[in-house]
Amino acid sequence: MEYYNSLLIQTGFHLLLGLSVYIVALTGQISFGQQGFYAIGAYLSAIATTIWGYPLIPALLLGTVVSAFIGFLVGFPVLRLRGLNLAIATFAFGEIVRLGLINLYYTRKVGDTEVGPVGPEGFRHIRFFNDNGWTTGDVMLLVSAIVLIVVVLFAVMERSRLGATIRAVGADELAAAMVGIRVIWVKVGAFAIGAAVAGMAGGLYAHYTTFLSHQAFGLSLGIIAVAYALVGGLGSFLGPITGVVFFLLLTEGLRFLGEYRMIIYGAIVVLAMNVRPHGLVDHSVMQKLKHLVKRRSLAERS
Amino acid sequence: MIASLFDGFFFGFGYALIGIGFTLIFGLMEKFNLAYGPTAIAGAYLGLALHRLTGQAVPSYGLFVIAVVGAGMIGWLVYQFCFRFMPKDYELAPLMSSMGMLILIEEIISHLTDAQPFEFPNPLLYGAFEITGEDLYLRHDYLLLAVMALTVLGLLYYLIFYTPLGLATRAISRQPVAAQLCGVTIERVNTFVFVLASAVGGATGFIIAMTIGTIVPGLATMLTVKGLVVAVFGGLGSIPGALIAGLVLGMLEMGSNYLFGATIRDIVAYLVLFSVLVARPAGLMGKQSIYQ
Repeated sequence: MEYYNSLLIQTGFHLLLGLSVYIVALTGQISFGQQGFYAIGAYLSAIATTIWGYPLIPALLLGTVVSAFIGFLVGFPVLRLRGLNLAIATFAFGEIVRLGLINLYYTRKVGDTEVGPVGPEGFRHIRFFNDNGWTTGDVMLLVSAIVLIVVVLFAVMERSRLGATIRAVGADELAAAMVGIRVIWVKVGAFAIGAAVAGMAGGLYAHYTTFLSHQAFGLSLGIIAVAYALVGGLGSFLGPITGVVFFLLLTEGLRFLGEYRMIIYGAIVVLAMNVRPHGLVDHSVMQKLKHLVKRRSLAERS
Repeated sequence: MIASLFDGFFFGFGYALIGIGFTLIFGLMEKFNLAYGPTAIAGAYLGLALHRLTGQAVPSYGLFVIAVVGAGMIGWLVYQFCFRFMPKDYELAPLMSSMGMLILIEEIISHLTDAQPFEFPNPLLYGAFEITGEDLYLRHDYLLLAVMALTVLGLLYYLIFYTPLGLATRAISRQPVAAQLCGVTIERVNTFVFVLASAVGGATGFIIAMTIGTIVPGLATMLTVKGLVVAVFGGLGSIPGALIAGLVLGMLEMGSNYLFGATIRDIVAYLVLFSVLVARPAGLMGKQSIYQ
């Protein structure tokens, strides 16, 4: 049970990361910097609970809001870039955050232990869950609840006018601008929402692992987050979810291969992209799904 | 300080070469090949394998040829599996598939070498020209790197501007459809340029591994990242841009390493990259195509 709980928790973090890349990708941008926001959320909310003594939820919200704000600030200059240049700029941002964390020293004595980030050694003793008697099951419930809320928000957004606006910007900026959409605001807004989601995930991650190290926020995390969105497909919010489940099944299912696992992993990604270049859940799949749902509801009515 | 800037300048030629590899492919197809670093390193590993299997009987230039040819062949495979069957107007699909290829090649190398670092044969080890007394030396292997970079540049210019193949590449980069109507086989030209860029990568990987002295699988991702940074920094599709960006990056890294130490080094490099991109969204030399 413990194993499934921690698996679910990890999946929750990755779902949030995938969704945060997804919303940015909807506006036609690819960000390799979401791990930076993840790191900001993680460190900030961990500092808030351990050093400043905040309760959990305000600490998480603080991480979310600050990370959204930084996303907003970074978004303006960065989103002038297009396509792959943007990917490199956001990657540079992620690395700047990570390398900044190596040089972050901020400790205070709480009780008889020194807590807080100690440069390259990382940030130990984030014991909020431990001190307040949370079991892994409780944490799992909290993470699932938050993931569920975010997914529902995404689902609602997708069906709303906002979702259509975001997609319009992604499909054709010029045409979107011509029908009166403020393209830059939509892009920066989507970027900030993505940053907020990643920051929230980071805060949860920090309290779950109890130990943060800059190594956890390297490029590989940013790449896997992009992989969730791209392999999963950008057809709907189901895309990144499918992507996360796909990679989860791969990593867990290939465990019996031992050290050959990563080789097969790479090969399957190549194969998946060859078979479905637009991702597993692309527009055509969504069309079919909608068709199916519509037909079923029609059949029920008659 | 001067000595480290000097070293950085020459090591920068290595970065520039990797950046040029990205630029060559991007200029033609507007796509990134993330598996470029692993291809280059795999070439170097092939050379190393021959070196060890034959009991160090093959001279270094023989190993070099093997590295170049091997990387070219791996590049062909990468093209077939990651680029050929992808939709032409969706650059994210090959980005992702070559990402998978990066994992695949790096893991195969790790697996075959047990992820152990290997010493890389360097016939020019410790050789250096002395330039003005005060600790200013030019290592022979750095000089080789610079000479190779300039030679490759010269050859590429000749190839692109003075041969029929170059004419075809320039035509494709401007108007793919019109080029096809005039009888250019896009697929064949793309494959050729891809293999050529990969072979250049193999040569670069070999010389870089030689100057570093050891080779580890992790070098593959490092080279991909540096190459992307250089290509974007210099302006995608611009060969002079990639050259300048590579040299600047080399000097920045070595200089800030000397001034602030290793942990700050990369921050400086990325901060400069970030600010250049924000100030000039298209990179130093602006977006242009080498094929024009």
